[in-house]
Amino acid sequence: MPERGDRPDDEGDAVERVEVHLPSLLRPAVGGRSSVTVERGTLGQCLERLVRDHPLLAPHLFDDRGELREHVNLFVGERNVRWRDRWHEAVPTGEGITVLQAVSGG
Amino acid sequence: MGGRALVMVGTQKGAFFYRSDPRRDRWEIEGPYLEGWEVTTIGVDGRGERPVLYAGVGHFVYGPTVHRSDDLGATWRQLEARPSYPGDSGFSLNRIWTIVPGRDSQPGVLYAGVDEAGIFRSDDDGASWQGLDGLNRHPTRAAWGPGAGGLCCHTILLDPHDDRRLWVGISAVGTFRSDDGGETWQVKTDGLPIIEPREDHPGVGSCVHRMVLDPEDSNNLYQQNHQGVFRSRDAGDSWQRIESGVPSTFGFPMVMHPRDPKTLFVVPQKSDEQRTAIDGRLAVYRTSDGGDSWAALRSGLPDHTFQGVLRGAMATDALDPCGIYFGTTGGQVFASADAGESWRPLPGALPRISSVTAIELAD
Repeated sequence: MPERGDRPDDEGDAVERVEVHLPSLLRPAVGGRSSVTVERGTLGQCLERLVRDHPLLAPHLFDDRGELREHVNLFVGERNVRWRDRWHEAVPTGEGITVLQAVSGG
Repeated sequence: MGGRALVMVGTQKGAFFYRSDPRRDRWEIEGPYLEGWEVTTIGVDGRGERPVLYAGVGHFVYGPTVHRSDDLGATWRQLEARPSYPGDSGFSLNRIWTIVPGRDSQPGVLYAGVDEAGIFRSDDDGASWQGLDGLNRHPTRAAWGPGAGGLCCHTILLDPHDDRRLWVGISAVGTFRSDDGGETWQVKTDGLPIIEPREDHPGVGSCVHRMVLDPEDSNNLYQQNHQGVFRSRDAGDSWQRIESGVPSTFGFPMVMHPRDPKTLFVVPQKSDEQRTAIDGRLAVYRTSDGGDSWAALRSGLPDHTFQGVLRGAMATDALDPCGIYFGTTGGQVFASADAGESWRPLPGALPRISSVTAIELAD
């Protein structure tokens, strides 16, 4: 759900935030939390903000070429959106992003 | 003499630490640390007041990073930086196979050997890393091809007598030496078997599995190769076979006694097709004459064991007598507190073991 004022840089403004749910292996990279929030925008913007705010996540989500790792899956709400042509689409209000290990990873 | 040892075991699913009593008779297991992550190597930086551990950590989905522990494994933190290739290089970082502290005269310096094969250096305790392009973009690079375990730069050796000399070993590629601090590198495979010689780079294509250096006389190098056991007496310029007494020329690990550089240990395995203990009889082979002859050590090691031992999965401590430790692909750890004369299994059935590191603990 959208949140506001949960980070110092929000300064109490009505900045919408989106919750990003993380798999257990990646939680140590964000201090042990199961989810974090980022300012709402397109999926690509949300991911940029995610690794800007939590840089330890970056090598786990993206490879040396900056591409999403082959077996990392992304969902917005219930929809699988790992393909880049969906990254310009806005994350709808009320929906979160979920990072998952793809079944293709074995 | 004697003393307590800490044996650090990196596995496909986390790290497990064993702490001994002062006789190295009783062992307690801790872990998993870095649970769920593949721990490919644990390097020890002993240059400061307290040892600092650096772990090469990875996952087939989430990729490799470096983690550091300042409290002997109790807590770990991921370093923000890691060795990484430029995005346009065409290379990718797949695993971190070794992390080696620099010389005592180089505080803060670390070296890392990685897959896709390359060497990286940090001058700030891992806060940033720079690739050594003299190797990573070596003129023979087009002839480099991966082995079964990938294209791995797994061994980095620093000459204790010459600050500008170092060696690396890359599986299925060969041995390289730099005499200028890592700026330029020369292929050093003369006398080693070449898997499939290429006309353009005929010296490239030797599958070094592990290489060790005589710290007293750094002209003396030894290596367990995919196709034999070898010694060099001229800093790698040429290599000769030293296989008298070994039942198989295939194996992965090789370690040197901490105070007697003529004493080395290997674990011969049954052919590159099978990679298990020969006839199911797990055995370590030791030379006490710099490789002229080898003899089996198997007191306490089990029969009917069809497991292998990977190249990083064997280590010694520096106690007296020295302890030797190895872990198997089946997740068993074996320990000797008497330089290999007798062995015992340590508790636990672990995931596949990639690395074993041992240090002495202060009482």
